[in-house]
Amino acid sequence: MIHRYKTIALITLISAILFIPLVSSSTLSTTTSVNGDYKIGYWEQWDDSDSHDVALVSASQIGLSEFQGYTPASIFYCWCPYIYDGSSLQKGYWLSNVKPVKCIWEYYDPQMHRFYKVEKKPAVIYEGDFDGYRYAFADHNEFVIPALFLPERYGDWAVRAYFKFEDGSYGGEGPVVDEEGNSYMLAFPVVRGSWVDLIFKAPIYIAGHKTIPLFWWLSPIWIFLIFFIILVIYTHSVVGAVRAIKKAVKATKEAKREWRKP
Amino acid sequence: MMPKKLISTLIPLFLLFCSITFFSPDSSANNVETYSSYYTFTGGSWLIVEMQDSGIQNIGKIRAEWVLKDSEGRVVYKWVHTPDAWQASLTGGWWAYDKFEIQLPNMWFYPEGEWTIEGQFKADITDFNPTVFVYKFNVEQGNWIDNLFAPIYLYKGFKIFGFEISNFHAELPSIGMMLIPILIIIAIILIIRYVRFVYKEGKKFISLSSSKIKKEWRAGEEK
Repeated sequence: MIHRYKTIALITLISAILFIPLVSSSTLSTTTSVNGDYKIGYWEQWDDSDSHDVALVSASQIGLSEFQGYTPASIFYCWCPYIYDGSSLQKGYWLSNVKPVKCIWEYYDPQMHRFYKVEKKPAVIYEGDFDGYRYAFADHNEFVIPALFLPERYGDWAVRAYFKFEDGSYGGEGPVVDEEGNSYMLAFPVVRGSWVDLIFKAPIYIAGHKTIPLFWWLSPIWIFLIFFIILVIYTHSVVGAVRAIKKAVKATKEAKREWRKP
Repeated sequence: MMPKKLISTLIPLFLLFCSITFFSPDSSANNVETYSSYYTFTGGSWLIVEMQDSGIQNIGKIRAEWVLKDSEGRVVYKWVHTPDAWQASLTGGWWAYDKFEIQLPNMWFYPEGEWTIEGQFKADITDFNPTVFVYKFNVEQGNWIDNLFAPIYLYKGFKIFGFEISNFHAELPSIGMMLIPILIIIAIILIIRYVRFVYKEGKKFISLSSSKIKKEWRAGEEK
């Protein structure tokens, strides 16, 4: 019978192991690799054929010299709009006479697959007279870097943000806007982190929606595995306790018998 | 009498088609603005394209047309819609702007290479000569997960004398999205079976362990 329990435990263990290939050997590495000279860039998808006009700013220029990149489970904070003055990013505000009702944030992987899209109420809306406009508004969002199991997912990710207004129109595209009013996506590097973060902390995004980390996805397996382990421990400990009690009772009886002897 | 009637109808029609083909504005004569991207895209990637154009003609209703072509120049899909913003005055002159998001299809059915997106505004006048915006970009196959969740485009244009008179088009959801209900049902069945198995075995385990404890206890009492 004991073999039966072992078989069950083994099946459960094998099921758990079967999920390990999901985590590739490269992502299991605990070392953090950085692809050469890291730069944060503001980019447009398209370049004019006549020129190769992509603005790139070195990390040190905007005070990120020690920063290597975001790892799975870390949080990327972004404000919309950032004003790019040629050397740094400054927090700014959009002005409008129509009330913004929603801010839409879209996050793309290095190959422009939309990983996450969220619509939320703008975090900052001021009403008053701002240079002749009724509303001054902005938004910020925190994006938890997902669990990434494929090597091509690592690289420069991009974020895009825009607002939806009360009249149904869209505008205020960013998050980066230059002084001429051109809007850009903001690119941010995502690098490999520890496998602990990958399995236990980093959420898994499915079809543009944020879900629980891999560890909790596997909970049906490990919860029942723990249940069986508890049962095994219980059986062994109770049998051991019974034996100990029996020995104690026997010893007491013998002691009594010895005591009664004249 | 009948053949004469047929000939007298067909010849003018044929001449009309020939004149249309000959005098129609050649697309190569249009202004062309070319853009390229140094990023590599795969099945399911999103491309954000925009165009802005203006003219002095008197036009009626204006439409924005985006055509996605594969590396062999075949039309993958065509989108036609009202531009995001446009103005046309009755006295002449027009201005239009359109921004569009295109998701690349499942690459299992298309060749890799340099794909293009052609965008231009369309109007119902014959001498309309808008700028053609050509976006060139490199497309690779990509991994199976991305392709599984990439849309499927069906497009077939029907042409006469080089003119597309009609087309069949359909945008199908991704294979992954179509399979999701089946996968959910399979997952639910597997989970139910797993829970039942574990419950059954757990129950057996508890009864066996309690009988073992009882046996041990009795063995002690008998001694």
